[in-house]
Amino acid sequence: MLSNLLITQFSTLALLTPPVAAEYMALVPGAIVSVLALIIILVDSFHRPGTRRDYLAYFSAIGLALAGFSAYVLWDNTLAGPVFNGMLYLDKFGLFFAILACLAGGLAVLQAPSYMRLVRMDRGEYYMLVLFSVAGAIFMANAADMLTLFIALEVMSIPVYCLAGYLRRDGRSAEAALKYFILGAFSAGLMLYGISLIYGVTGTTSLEFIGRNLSIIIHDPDPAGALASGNLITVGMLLIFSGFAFKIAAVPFHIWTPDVYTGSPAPAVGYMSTAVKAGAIAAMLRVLLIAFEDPVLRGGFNGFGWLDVVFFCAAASMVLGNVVAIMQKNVKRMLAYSSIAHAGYLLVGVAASSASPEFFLHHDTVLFYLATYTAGTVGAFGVLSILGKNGRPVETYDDLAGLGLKYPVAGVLMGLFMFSSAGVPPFGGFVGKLYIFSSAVQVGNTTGEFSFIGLALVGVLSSVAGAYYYLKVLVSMYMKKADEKADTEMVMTSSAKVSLFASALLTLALGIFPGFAIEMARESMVDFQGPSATTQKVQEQGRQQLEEMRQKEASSRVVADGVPQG
Amino acid sequence: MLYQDQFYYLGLIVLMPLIGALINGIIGAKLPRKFVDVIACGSILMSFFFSLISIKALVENATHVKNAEGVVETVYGHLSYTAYHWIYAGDFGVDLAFMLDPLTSLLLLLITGVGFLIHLYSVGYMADDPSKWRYFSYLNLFCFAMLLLVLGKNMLVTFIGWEGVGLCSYLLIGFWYTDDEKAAAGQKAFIVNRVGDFAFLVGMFILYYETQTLDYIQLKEFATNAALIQQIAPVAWLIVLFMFIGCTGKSAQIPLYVWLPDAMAGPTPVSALIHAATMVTSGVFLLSRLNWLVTISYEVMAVIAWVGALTAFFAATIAITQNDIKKVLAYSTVSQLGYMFLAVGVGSFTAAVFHLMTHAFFKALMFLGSGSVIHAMHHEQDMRKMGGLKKYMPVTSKTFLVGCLAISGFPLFSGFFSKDAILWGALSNTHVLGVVGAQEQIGDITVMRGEPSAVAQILTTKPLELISAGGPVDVNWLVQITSWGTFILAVITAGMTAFYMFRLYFMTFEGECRADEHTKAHLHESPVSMTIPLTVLAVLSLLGGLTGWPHFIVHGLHFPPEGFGLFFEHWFSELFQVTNDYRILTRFGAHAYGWEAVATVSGLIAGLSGIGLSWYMYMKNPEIPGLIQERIKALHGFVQQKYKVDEFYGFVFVKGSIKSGEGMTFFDKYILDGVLVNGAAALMATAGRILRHLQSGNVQRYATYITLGVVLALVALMLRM
Repeated sequence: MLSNLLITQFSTLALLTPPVAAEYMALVPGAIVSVLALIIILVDSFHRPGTRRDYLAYFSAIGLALAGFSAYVLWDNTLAGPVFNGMLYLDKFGLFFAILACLAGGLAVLQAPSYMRLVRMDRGEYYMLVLFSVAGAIFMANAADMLTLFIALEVMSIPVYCLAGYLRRDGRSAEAALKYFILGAFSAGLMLYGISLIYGVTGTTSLEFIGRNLSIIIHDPDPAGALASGNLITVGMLLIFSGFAFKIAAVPFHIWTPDVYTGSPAPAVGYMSTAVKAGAIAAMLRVLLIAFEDPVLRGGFNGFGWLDVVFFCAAASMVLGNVVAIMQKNVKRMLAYSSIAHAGYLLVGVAASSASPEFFLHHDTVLFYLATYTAGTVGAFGVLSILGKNGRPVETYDDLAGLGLKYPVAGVLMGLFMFSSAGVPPFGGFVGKLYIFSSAVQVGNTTGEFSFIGLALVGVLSSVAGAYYYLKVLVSMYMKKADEKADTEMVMTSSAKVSLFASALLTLALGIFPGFAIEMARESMVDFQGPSATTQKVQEQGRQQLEEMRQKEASSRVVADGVPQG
Repeated sequence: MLYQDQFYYLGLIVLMPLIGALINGIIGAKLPRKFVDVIACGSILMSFFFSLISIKALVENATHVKNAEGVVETVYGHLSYTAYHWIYAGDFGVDLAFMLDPLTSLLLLLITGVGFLIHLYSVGYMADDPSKWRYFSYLNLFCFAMLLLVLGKNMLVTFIGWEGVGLCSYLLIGFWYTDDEKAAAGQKAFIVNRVGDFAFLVGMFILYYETQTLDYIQLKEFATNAALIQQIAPVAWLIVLFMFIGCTGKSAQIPLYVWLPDAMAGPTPVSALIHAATMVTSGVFLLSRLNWLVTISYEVMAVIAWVGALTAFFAATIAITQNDIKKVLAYSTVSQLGYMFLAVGVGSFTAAVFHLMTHAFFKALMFLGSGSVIHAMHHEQDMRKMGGLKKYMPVTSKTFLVGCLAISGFPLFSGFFSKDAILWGALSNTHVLGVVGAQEQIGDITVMRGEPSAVAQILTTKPLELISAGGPVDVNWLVQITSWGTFILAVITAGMTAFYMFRLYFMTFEGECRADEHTKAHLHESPVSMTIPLTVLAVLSLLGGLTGWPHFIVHGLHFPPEGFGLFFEHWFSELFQVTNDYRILTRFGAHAYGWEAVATVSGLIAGLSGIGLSWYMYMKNPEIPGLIQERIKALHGFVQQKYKVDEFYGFVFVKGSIKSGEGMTFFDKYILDGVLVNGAAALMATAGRILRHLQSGNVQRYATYITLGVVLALVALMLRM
């Protein structure tokens, strides 16, 4: 185990080297958000009782916008390899997710003032919790080490547990918080156990070193040794995967989702179903594509591995999510099941793109889908957070009856978000689905393996069910008679307006001008740090393609192509 | 160096009318009426200026190349602008990109220039309409869509414009939607157009399937490349046929012309802009843009030529019998469009586009003139109740006379030159594959037609080198029949055109006024905003043709060959180079000035005798038309009712659709909805009900599920070992 020893030596050496100035840039987006959260606590303690806390929403949103902007500024200044002694990455992949998390967080905090008026609970904690969670999500997406990853995961999750229990006076909210916390702790425990097993086998927590060591161990010429540690690795890998699958609510680790979503405050659900999912997906891709990248562990065409588990989870999530969502009477619960289905679509992208290193860049479909999903879902929960009936926020289809005609703005926006989620052109959701499924079909075509095409078919067919339950919302809003006796209200604060229109605009923009976001996603995958040499070649090709595309654009400005014929 | 690829003025040209449409459409109702006028006319005027700037840049950017014969040729190339990357899915990519080349330049000037005049005219014409803002919003939107259509760098952008102009046409025909008949006319136009659009789409799909691109510049590489043309030659006829069917919808040709006469229900300036000058010519534009593709298959070209000639002929016969001033003009438009398609069908694209331009001038002029008359007559459109308007409306009548002379082909008026070019094209042009004499040179064409490579070889060889000396050639029977048949039809139509146009002129402006006293008392010349456009268009109708003299005159009078007399040909020489150099040749040889004179003189005689006959029948002996009408009552009635085509379509297609729709309803209700939809829903519901029980709410059980999930996955993976 000479190499192991060497690696340990290098690690020690690395620990002794102080980080250079450029490495601090990796902290910037996360640090802005964390500092902001602390400021919010301070400001809130000086809050004059009896006045509204709307300014906190704006303050947080502006801060998040600043953080997102800082990520955008860093876009072309990424660093190769991990920084801070192998703890964090500063690459476009991480920055993409940082922007996404800031976006989801920003939209969610802006919706809060309306909702707080509806439930008559104006508290400053909400903003602070969302901000801490965003900081966790950002660090999680950038993690280069199991330790950073796990700490970030907890930083992201614990505020969300609290958010779930935000409505203290509502029993269901407390139940949601407790369930989420218990199950979250349970799955985090499983994950931590998995990490420790992997550490036991490889002797390191760095993702890249885990990856290198695992391939050495697996390809150990002594079959007995390989088998013994092989089982241990499999257990560890699956436990870690289960932790991520829990966070993104993939079947069979989805079981908490409906109960938690139903009990939690609507804007917080919008946040936890998008940013938390995004953070978990980012970390999962980092772990799977760096630490468990070895073909044997990957499985698929090389026997059984995590790819097969992802594949199964994808199919099961899509089918179960869509089928059970049909039966729901509560819109939030329906959205919970649909979020399970969306997790399935995302995993389709992961499974297809991981089939072989040559499809590595296809992971951009997952990134792009997350962007479209975020815009649509946060928006939908936003509409639910501004509508009230009989003094409480709307929840069921019946609550929504006739509200589309009564509040045309809410109706039109809800229609837009529902159409997007159902995958109707020209909205973002359509392009996202199209991109993911066409990638799966392409992978199936290229490899000649029908199961990927089959997976895409399952996705398309089950999303037909999606059209049913999404449109049912609109049927309720527009075609059902409003309850005359009920006292309905719409609390449209200016911040909610900003949030809803921004989501709507984004949904439309991603559907009509998807080029920009797709290019960013593609760049993110090209800049993804840490995979093996085979994958790096694919990345290099992708980089060249991107450059060629840009050069073609630039050069065609000068060269006239109207050359005469004959 | 100019940024030829990011020439953003092209974007501005398109943007201006859109902004105008949005402002007027959204807040127009609240704006002062004057302001609405200014925004509508201003936006289109801005577009016109940007067009001028762009065309100036195109001209300045041109390079001059000396060809093999030592003649300097101007190569304009193109300017383009990519607004954004629109669709990227796998290998399929489409940009929202614009392109300016000589063909687009001409259309741009027509759309923005003539369009501006018509906007200006509308200010007067629609002055009293309460929803003028809506009218101007639609009109600007139309210009936007039309500009998209002509500026599109790829076929998808053109298609968006194609659909957009259809939509605006529908909105404007049914502008006075409270009148059921007018609303129905709008619907008819839309539905008939959709039939054509479907064919267009199918053609586009096939084209994309074969070439993997929709970009015009990339497509053009298929034109002369023997290897590439081999791919596309076997299906070119199908693509062109579908495209042409699409064009018959938009450009009102047999069999889909029926919507255009009904479209006269819209405000008259709309008829002038959409149904005379711009939208209806978009079919000609499209085929000219794809001229290299059209000319691959000469059989389909023969179809196009015949459809064009027959449309021209039959529409002219209907026009003779109509009494509604706008209906006459509508059928005349159908007829003139037929001429353009005839020119396309015989491969004389320059003539087609030339006639497109002159027709836009004189037909817009006449529509606006008729609008002026209708305005003065309090919306009376029946010519039998007019007459003698000359003394009340001097400007309108004089400009209208110019229009009539132009369309009749009176010497030196614009229509004379363009119609002559079409007649000469019909008589002389032949396709290289239709030449009998070429067979000795490159083997038996009819045998080789089955082999794509052989066809490709012929299509990419210059025929002049193929058939030595450039003398007369023998052509096969199809070309013979097409050539003589369409030529004779076109000459007869030219005579009829002159006849019915002057019938219209004499009945409206000359003789005694037959209007009732009340109308008579209020007769007046139209306001200045209406007469200025008339005057400008009259000047254009008078002079517009001087850019394309017949060759024998140019030769005979020793005009400089590169001078203004053949300007039109030079302007388009690069664009139609493939057609002119490779595919189409003159069957009478290179310098058959005698034959050309024959074509010109026959057109001239037909036109003059049409005018003379009209004068004899409607001025000298006004009782003759009644007598003739009496004599051939049945035929006259049949023609006057447009050969009963509407009734036939109504019976076959409309009734047929309704009946089959009823059958489908049954299928839909019981089979699709009953078994498939409700069955699937019931199945899903059952599954959902079962799976719901997993969600017990018990947190211990939830933790168990998670553990079970891990264990199951573990077992599955362990089994591999």
